[in-house]
Amino acid sequence: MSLPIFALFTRSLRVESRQLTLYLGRLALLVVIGFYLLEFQSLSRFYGAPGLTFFESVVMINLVFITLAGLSYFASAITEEKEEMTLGLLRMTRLSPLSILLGKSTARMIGAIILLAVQFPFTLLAVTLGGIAPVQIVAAYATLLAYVVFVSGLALCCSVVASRNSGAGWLVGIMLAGFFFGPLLGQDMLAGLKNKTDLDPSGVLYCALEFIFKWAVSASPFSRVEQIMQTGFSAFPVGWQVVSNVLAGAVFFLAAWAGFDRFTRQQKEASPARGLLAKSKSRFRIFSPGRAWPNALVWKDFNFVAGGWTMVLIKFWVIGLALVGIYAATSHGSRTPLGEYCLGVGYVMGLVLIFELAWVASRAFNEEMKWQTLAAVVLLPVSIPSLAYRKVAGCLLGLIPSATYTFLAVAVSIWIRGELSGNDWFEVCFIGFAQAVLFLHLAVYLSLVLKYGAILAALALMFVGETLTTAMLNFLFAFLLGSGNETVIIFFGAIPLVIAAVLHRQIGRRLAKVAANE
Amino acid sequence: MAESNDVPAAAHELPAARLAEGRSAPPAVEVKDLYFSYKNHRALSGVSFSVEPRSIHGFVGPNGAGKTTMLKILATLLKPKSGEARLFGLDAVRDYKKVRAKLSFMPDHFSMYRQMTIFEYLDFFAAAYGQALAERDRVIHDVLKLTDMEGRQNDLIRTLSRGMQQRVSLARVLVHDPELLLLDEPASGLDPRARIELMEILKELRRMGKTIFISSHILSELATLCDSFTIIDRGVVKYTGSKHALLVQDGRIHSYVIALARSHPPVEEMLRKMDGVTGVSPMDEEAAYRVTFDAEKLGVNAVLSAIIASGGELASLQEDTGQLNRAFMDLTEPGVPT
Repeated sequence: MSLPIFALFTRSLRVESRQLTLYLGRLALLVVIGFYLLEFQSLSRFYGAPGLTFFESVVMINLVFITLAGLSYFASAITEEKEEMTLGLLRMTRLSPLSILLGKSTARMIGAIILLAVQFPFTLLAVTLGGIAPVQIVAAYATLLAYVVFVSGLALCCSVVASRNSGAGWLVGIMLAGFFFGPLLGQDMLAGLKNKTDLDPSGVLYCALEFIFKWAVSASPFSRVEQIMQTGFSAFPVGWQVVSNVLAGAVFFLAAWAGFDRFTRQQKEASPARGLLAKSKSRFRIFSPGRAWPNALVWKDFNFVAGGWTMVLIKFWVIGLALVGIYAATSHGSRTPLGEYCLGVGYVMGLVLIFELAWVASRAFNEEMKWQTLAAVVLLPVSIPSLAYRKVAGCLLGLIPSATYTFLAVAVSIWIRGELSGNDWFEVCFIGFAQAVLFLHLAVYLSLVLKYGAILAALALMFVGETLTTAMLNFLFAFLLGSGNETVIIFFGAIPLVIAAVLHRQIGRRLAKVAANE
Repeated sequence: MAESNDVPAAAHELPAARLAEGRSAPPAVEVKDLYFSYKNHRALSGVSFSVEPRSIHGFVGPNGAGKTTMLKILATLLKPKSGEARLFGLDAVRDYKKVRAKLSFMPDHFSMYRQMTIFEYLDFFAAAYGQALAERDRVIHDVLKLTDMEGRQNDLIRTLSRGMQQRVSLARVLVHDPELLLLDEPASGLDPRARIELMEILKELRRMGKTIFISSHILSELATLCDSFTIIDRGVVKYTGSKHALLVQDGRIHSYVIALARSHPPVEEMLRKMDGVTGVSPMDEEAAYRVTFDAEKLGVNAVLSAIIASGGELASLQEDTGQLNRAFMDLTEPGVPT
């Protein structure tokens, strides 16, 4: 392993192997899986196949986290060096492009694979709960491993092409959205064309497109997991999804290698992005941020973090067109009732809203830390809590499109359906609000601690907290209190607000500390 | 070499002089017996000094001496472990809000919103300090004029050279018209021309009545600019007082650099024989000498008269600022602080 080609790779592995936090993280993961297992065991009487339900949840959570890691952890492999302007220094050494790619990306991929490997023996215990066979578990982990290889390769390629972490993350997001939703939409549209036009279903074009979409859909790990989780699954664990994902990952890695020199030859001045904002003296000054508002911090973060009115306008159009387009594309055959569709949109947009706020707010604080601008801001004549609120307020303005569509979707749904659903909406809204507040605080706090991946870490912590709380609640309801005790639900629902209050104080302290250390 | 136990007397030299003159205005900066530590490392130990209003004070020390820590304490970004730091009579810890309104801090790195234009950047800070639109226009115009950037207000900051970025930083610290400017190594990384231009701007600011507290690890760089100095090494003040006092060795030996228009050997011989002259050393340049003399026996006018009387044609005469470097080397210890 003393070959120069593996020099950076072995160094990365050595550094990671010495990090205690990584071991603690893996231990925490096992603890969560243990709790999850216990929870399902205690509730086994409510499930037909508790082992299957438990394992399906674990696999789906893994898939979501691998996807999110692709957007942040894997996508920053090369761009973080570009942002810190250290890639040029690496290139001046004897390290070849392949060596840099292996060191920066493959080491991260192996880290993710180790995380999957440590879960494997524990999830095998699902067999004892019933409803799942060992072959299904092996097949599911093969699916996850292949998906890690695919996402890692794709993200590496995007990281080589993009000049900033955010750009690489966006690129990965767009590519993955295309990978997951493109073939599904394609199939729907093809079916729509068949119904509405004279397109010959036995023609070469139709058959070719149908074949491509079918194979593209079955390359998705979500489709594969759906197959694996069906009762009686006994196929070979390595299927088309595994082969296609590994091959695609390798192709993306080779593409990154081939394009490395071209995309990294010129070192660009690292600076925060201005986005689509025009300068006030340019021809497009209508898209400029204009003069600073009396509430200058709100103006700054609205324009230079959330993208300003230009981005608000773009989001209005893009989200609106996407929602109308999806409804239109799925309107053939058995049309989804508008009320149901709007309710679904309301749920999804509500989640998008929370994620968008956490993402923009964490970026607002992380960018101040990264570009060392906090010292000047902290010395402004406003208190630190007020400073933080104003920054978040600037970010909130950028959420006008998502908030508007959420509100419209819920309003239309209530108008058509007459009611939302049979749930107790006070409980649901209260718990949802408390968790959203905690998520926002967690994301902001972590953005002041971590260089990258604050949202991912916040989600992971939320998931751990959620699992432990749910396990505790289920235990209480199953053995001590009986079901539906609202006081207990409200009490547990309020815990996130208490933690958020603690984090709120810590954010202020952290801001002052970071400003002093600049 | 000055002993550290000389420091308290020197540290209180300026307030004493002020009281003698019957003035009541508090010092712009007054630090007394201040301590600060980072975990196991003591950054400042019993630091005491003061700075007169409307003066330029050089805070000088080698790398790792504690300069930036001291500046951050004065800027209210760090709290001292013990001791007192007062700015215009206000406590930097208790009255930090009032103190912040009176000062501006420019860190040693270019921490700016580089995605903004110069105008947007200054407009943002002016608005953040609560200025109305019309007032902002006037202030931005004034600071751009002072820093000679009037024609470039629509340029993106990320496209500017290092020297220009430093001017933008300086313009930023001036937008709310602070009484005290805390500048951490403002000339680092600048080319000679940019340094000279920066120094000229600072002199102009002093003329406008600002107090400037400037840190550097190169004493001679500040020699012509500062009225007073504090020299710090490994967290301990080694000297604080006027520039003149630092230039005058042992309280009475003055050092001057005398340059003649053309070489005239009798001048050197005459100076060596002159009563009160303690040393004459030729410098690298032709017909230039470093002359040290006992101020109690001889004045600079007498030296000048003697040179002219011996047929020398004087080209220039100035206080030997190189003496500052020698003093700095004497006062500070070699090696890197651990």
